[in-house]
Amino acid sequence: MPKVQATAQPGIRHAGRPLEVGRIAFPKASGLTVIIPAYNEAGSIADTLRSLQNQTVRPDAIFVVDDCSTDGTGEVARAFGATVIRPARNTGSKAGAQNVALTRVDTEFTMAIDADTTLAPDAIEKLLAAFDHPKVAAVCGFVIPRYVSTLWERGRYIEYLFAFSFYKPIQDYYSKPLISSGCFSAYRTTSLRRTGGWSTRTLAEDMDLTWSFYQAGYRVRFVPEAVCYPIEPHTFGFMSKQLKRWSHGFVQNVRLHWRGLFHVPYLRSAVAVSVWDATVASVAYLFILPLLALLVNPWFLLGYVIDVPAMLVPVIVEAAARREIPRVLLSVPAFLVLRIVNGLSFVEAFWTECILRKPFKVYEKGH
Amino acid sequence: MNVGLPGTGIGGLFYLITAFLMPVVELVRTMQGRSSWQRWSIVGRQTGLASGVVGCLWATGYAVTHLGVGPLHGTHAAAAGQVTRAMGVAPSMWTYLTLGFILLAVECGRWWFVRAGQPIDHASEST
Repeated sequence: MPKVQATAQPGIRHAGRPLEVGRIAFPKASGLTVIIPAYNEAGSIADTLRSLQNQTVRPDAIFVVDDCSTDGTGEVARAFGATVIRPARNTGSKAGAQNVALTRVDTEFTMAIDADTTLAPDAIEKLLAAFDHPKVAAVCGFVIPRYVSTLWERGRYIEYLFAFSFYKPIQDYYSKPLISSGCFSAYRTTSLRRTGGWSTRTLAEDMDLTWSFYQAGYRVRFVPEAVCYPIEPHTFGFMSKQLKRWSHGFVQNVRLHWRGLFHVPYLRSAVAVSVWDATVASVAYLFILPLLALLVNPWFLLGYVIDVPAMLVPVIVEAAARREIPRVLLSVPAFLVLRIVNGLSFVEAFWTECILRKPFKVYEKGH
Repeated sequence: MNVGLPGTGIGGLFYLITAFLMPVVELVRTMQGRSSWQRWSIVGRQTGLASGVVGCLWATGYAVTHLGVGPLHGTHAAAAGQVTRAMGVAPSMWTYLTLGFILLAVECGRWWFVRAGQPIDHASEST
């Protein structure tokens, strides 16, 4: 366990100017501690902390794990009244940073949120309400990109609208959300500790934790009304780093948990079809379709877009409720590009992890 | 995070089928006294979305193969038909068989592990 130093000081100036929001005393009511792992997040963590202060149910404590940032992240966090924990050296991963803070949590619930993520004002209230059974160990919410401007943000916007409005509620109905998203989830602290906290053995610590919960007999819930807004990768460089981490993390988790997953109904089927889609469907999409178009008939290229109208049904229904239909329509081409990059990423991950047997272990930050 | 290629192929079909099974499951829960209006509203929403997806798939497949979108004639129309079937827009027997094979393989794997004496976590089964 790294040596840590914890401080909470108000009124620190950042970048030569005073911060607008000062220290706020959180009332002891929610039984919730928020953990924010942060490495060089001075530009975004203020929004995250501000959104926590504006919650209808406020947390008892906020721990910011300043993972040896060099940009003054800790100073910004202190100015907002958060308890800053700075390990003696960089922990090397988000999971490592979160575990440093977990040892100090003394509340019934623990929430993990990324330092570039903001919350709807009632997000915590909605999330905590779902802990209605002692077996519920984790609850996650609806994720919407905060900024929808670049090609990659637009692609992710469509992807999330589809997944969180169609796939995830079905998974939740069968009591098996595939992942309790790492960017915004709440946990029952005792269950989290019993499961060993956030493991660093894979690059997708949220998936690892979720599947470990299921195998230990716990439940995980998805609450679509609890909305969070992360900053998504805005460039190809950031996006490819994130996708590499996610795809390798998925493969690593399948290899780690596959025996245990056989005993978890619905999840075993959902993971199996995900593996198929991530491998066979990706190969078909990336290589077989172009070959057929080249060798047989160019109309096979229709395969890249032919399912888009159907996919857009849940997306547009969700967008209509948010009054964002024009944004959706403008973002569809970006989604098609992201889908190709997604496929490439998963094929590369399966090839490297399963065929070449070279596990990818470096946690590269990509938002 | 998401896994795979959202919208395409077997994964999409899996979620469509499980969405259409939701009213059946909920009916059983209702008869057992374990349902609520809130649960039925979720079932109605997801089943409605799934119906919209299927309707749109059918309309797209019909437009491509019958209405000459493109325009398509002769071999072009045949190719478009192959594409729609291959991509699950007009799910063929092959698509269903593939999904069935995957789900069967998973159940066989589970059965094998049970026979091999691996413990089953009944706590998670009961959810």
